[in-house]
Amino acid sequence: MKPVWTLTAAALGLSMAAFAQTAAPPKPAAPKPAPGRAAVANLPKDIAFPKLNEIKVPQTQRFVLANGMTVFLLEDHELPTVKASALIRTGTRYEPAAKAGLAAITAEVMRTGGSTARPGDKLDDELDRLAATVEFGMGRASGTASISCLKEDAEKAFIILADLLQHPAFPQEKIDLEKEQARAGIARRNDDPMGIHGRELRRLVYGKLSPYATQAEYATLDAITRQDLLVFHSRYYQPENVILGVWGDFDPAAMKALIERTLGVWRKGGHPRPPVVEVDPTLAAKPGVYLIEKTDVNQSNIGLIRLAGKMSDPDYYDNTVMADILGGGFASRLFNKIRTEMGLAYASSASYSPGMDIPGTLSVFIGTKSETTMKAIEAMKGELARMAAAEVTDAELRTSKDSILKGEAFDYASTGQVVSRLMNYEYYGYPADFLQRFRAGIEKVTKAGVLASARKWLQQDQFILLVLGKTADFDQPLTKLGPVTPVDYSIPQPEGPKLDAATPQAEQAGLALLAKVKAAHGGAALDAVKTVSQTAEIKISTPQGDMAIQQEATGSMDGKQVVKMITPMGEMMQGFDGERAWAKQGPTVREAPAAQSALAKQSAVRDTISLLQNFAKPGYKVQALPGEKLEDKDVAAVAITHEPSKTTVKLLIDPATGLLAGKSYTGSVMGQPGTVVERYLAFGDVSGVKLATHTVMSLNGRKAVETTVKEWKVNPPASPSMFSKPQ
Amino acid sequence: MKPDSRTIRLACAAVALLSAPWLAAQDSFAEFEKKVTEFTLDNGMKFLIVERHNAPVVSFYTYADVGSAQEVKGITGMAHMFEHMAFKGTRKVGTKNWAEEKNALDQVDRAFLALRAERDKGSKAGKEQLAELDKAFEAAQEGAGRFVVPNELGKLIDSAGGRGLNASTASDKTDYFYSLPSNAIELWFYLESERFLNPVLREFYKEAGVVREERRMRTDSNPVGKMIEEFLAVAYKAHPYGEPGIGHMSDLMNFTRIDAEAFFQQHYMASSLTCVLAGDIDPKRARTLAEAYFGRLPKRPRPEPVRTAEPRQEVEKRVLLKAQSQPWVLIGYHKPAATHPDGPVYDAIGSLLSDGRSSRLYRRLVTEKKIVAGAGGFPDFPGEKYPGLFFFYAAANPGKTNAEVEKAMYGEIDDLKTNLVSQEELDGVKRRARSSIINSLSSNTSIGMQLAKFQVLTGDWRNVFKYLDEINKVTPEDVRRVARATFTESNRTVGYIEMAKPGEMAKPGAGN
Repeated sequence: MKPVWTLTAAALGLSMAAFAQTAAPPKPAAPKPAPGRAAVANLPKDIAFPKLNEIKVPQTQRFVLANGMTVFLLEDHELPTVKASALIRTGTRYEPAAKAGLAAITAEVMRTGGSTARPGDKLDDELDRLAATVEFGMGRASGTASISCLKEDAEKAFIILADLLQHPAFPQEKIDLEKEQARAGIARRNDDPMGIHGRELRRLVYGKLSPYATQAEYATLDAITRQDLLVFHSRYYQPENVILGVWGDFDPAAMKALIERTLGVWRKGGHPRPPVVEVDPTLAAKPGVYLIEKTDVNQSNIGLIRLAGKMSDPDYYDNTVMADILGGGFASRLFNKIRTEMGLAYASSASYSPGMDIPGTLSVFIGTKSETTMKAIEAMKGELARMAAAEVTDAELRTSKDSILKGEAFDYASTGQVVSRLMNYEYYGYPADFLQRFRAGIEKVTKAGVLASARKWLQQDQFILLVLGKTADFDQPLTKLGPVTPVDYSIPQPEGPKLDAATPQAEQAGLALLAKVKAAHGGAALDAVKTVSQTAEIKISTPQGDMAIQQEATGSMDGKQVVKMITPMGEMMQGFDGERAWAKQGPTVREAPAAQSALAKQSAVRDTISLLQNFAKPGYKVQALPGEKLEDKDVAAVAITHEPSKTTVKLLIDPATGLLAGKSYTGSVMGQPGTVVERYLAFGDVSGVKLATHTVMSLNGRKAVETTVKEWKVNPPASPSMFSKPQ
Repeated sequence: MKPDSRTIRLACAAVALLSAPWLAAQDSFAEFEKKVTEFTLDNGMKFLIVERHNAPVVSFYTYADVGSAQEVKGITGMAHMFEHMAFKGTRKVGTKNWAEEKNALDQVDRAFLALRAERDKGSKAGKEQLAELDKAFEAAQEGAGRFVVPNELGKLIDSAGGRGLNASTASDKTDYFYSLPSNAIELWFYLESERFLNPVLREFYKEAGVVREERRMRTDSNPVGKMIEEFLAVAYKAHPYGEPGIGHMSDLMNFTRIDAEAFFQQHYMASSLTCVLAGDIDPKRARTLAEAYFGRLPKRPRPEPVRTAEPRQEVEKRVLLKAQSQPWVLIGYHKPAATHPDGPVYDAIGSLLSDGRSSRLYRRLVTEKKIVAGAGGFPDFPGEKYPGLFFFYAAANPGKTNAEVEKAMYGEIDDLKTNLVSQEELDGVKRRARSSIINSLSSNTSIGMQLAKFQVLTGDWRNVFKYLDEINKVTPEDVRRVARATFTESNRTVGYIEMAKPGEMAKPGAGN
């Protein structure tokens, strides 16, 4: 530390210099420092910056265990804690697409399921006694493991970590729990508009089939077995795949011995190092304009994105400075133009995220009210064009470089950060002095380099533009920018349980049973049904108690329907014209989200009359299933699969009468997905057709809806327009 | 009141190891206390200097003892608005010519007031007049804009190699923070003192537009954000904790730079500021610079305290939001302020319920009953200074209803009222509290937050460590007593988010 007087003198001297620079008229005298007080600078430029105290680069030890594990150690005695973190050569990019979710579930159950010696829940207690955490995580390109504990507990924490890495138990019950958690995550992934937008940007730029954009779905979770976890674990969790970093309050020799004792005994796996999974550019969406229609928001999320390069590319330094000047911080152009000058957005930034071993992305994000969507897009595009049109100013270049270079000391401010950086360089094959090379590279960036970078990367026809918002309120239609492609962000609903392949016998038996059912329900009269309507009383079980609704519904056998509901809250109509679902309440008519239309389409396929009319036609597959119990009644079962829509319905049949006893399928009730079972308690005869007049519908085993039909009509007078969205 | 912790899922320890030093909090933290130098300027401004010479960097943390709880009707959102304005510069930073800019800014205010007066006429407002006044307002803004050096404050910090420049506003506080290489500390003394000596609230009306966008992002277009606003509005009928910190849209449309100046004069004085400087810094030099720079801030009396108190709640209140969202259950119970002697008991309850894999809500509702995807409960929402809520949240698993989840939550809450927690479980809480404090001392930034908060709310930063003694005194009987007094039906507000069916959605707020 410099003595105070030197600085005071320096500050004073510079203040005077500043006054000298100021043109006439003369300014009032500098405020007189109170006795014993240092002088204050008049302007920021008057402030003297003394030489920076020496940056102590913490010295990290690196060694490799006999089993191939790489270890970094860094002592730090400031606090009585020990922290460790490991990078493991695995990642979601190595899981099969049909089993998306496998990698993350493996990592999580390694912890929750415990080891063969330490069952998961007991492990929670044991770790609690140690006041420590041992956790595992999974990224796209690496797995992680970590320890955080007080120093006196380090030994026990390492014993546990080593045990879990080598001998995870993977009990089925914890796998099931983790799948249930993952399902909840899927169900909730469309709740936050910004979350939807960020996810869909990624799926567009890498392609939804790319391992860099895949996500777990209900179907991929269903496909994951315990055996898959065992295989995935043994393939990737091997010592030669692990880079371990430890920092904190320990003696390095003792720590090295502890690591040898616990992790050094882990036997080599012998599997080759997993290769980098390259990005397949043919999977990506084409550059252009994409839209997510969301009617419940008043702000648009606007994103531009394209694939950019890697950190090892020669233009990494130019690109870093270019993106920083475009949209990095308070000094950036996007911030100054769109936020400060135009007041259009709270969030407005550019982000250059080069990959370590695969191409990363260059993206721009803005959030602005619906009514200024196009205005903001145009301003954003204007800034991109300006970057590519001419060189940045000297001041912009200086500020950007200074902000990176003068903050060097922060790169050494925490030991954890120093160790993590070295681990990452090692993991991705970067030289250990890459940080120094980075600084040297930034130092060399010129205005010409920034311009070249902008011209290479900011070509506007190379970007994907994704807008999430309520188009009805936009200032101008998005189509002004070109053709607009809607993005389907709906959640694929869970498929039903997988059926074994049908044997010819099962198929024949199924067809025979269904013929009997069809005859019992009306035979030729049933085939003649084109439209049915019903007037019914519906009781919906809600958390607040039962709610009664009067319903008038008409459905046609080509899948269209219209439903009028009279509820305690008023009258409401819903319809489906074969393509789109809509709703009307009072004078307001709304089109339903795409997901809702898809559900309506599926539910039309599941219609009982339609199934009985069509089961023998092409596109349908039938198979008899073993008999089962429905509310203590023995019933026969037949599965009908409609192949184009991948919809399977199980019909449950009273073997004595051939009448339907019920129907089950995977669907949703009141927006909740799950297994739906309908039970038919009474039938009525309408124009020679037997239709259920009393139905109880349950979702996941709980009663959800009870329907009592007062009147059925077959082929009532109907006009095609009755199903269309009212104008 | 509980120290902040970034550490999630910190393990709780069950057994009190006799060798463990946590029983004697004071001894174990004496080493840290030696690094702290404190002084108060003549004008009442408080400084804490924490020496950590590991790296030549310093983090600066300014805690202003003013938050959205200090707002009144008409200017909701002003504490947060001022926070945004505190990045706009001063009479010397961010301007090309202050004397002329000053006149131009006054002109902008006049133009805005004229436009607002016409708008206030509602349907009787003249269309032409509105258009003309709007044009004049735009022109005035453009005129003032000519004198602006945009974002100069941010650029100066960037150029010095600064990191983490930001600020935040909550119910009880507004905090301003960043870090600099340690040779640049005088830049902070300069900028931060100018910020509170001569702030210029330039570009006010454009920044109000930015804040409206922030509101659209956090509240209007986000189901959980929207629900929190409705929930607090129902839970509080008197105290300003019921008002949204981001501000009502109409206030964000109508408040003025003059209102903001008045708010600043009323709430920002030397004695409402506490600064923590942590890192490679010499306390003697810090004091010299503090006296020179911050000694210039005038000594002004503190504002009148908030005297409106939330009356005792006597009926259960319920809110239902239908939105494009999977279900959520929120439950809030009124409790005393965090500084109440029972504060540590409430913290212990929060910890028992939701810290770590063996915590009650995780183990019983996530792992065993598999009814929720996640759940938690913690005291002092939305603030700590005045009586806040003990706040629970839970996200149902697919196929489970909010009603089932609510019932399961009550099962856990009632357990606390009926059965005594085991000493072992409580010891885990105590051990966890100590770990949490140790971890909060691992970075300059988190040290700043921690010490400032305790300094302001309890009057002494050392209470960060004394808090451990307090939590160590909590008994199983305390937990049951406090749970019985607090978790009653008439004292609670319950909020549900349920998935809207088509036609059930509320229309999103007009864009404005």
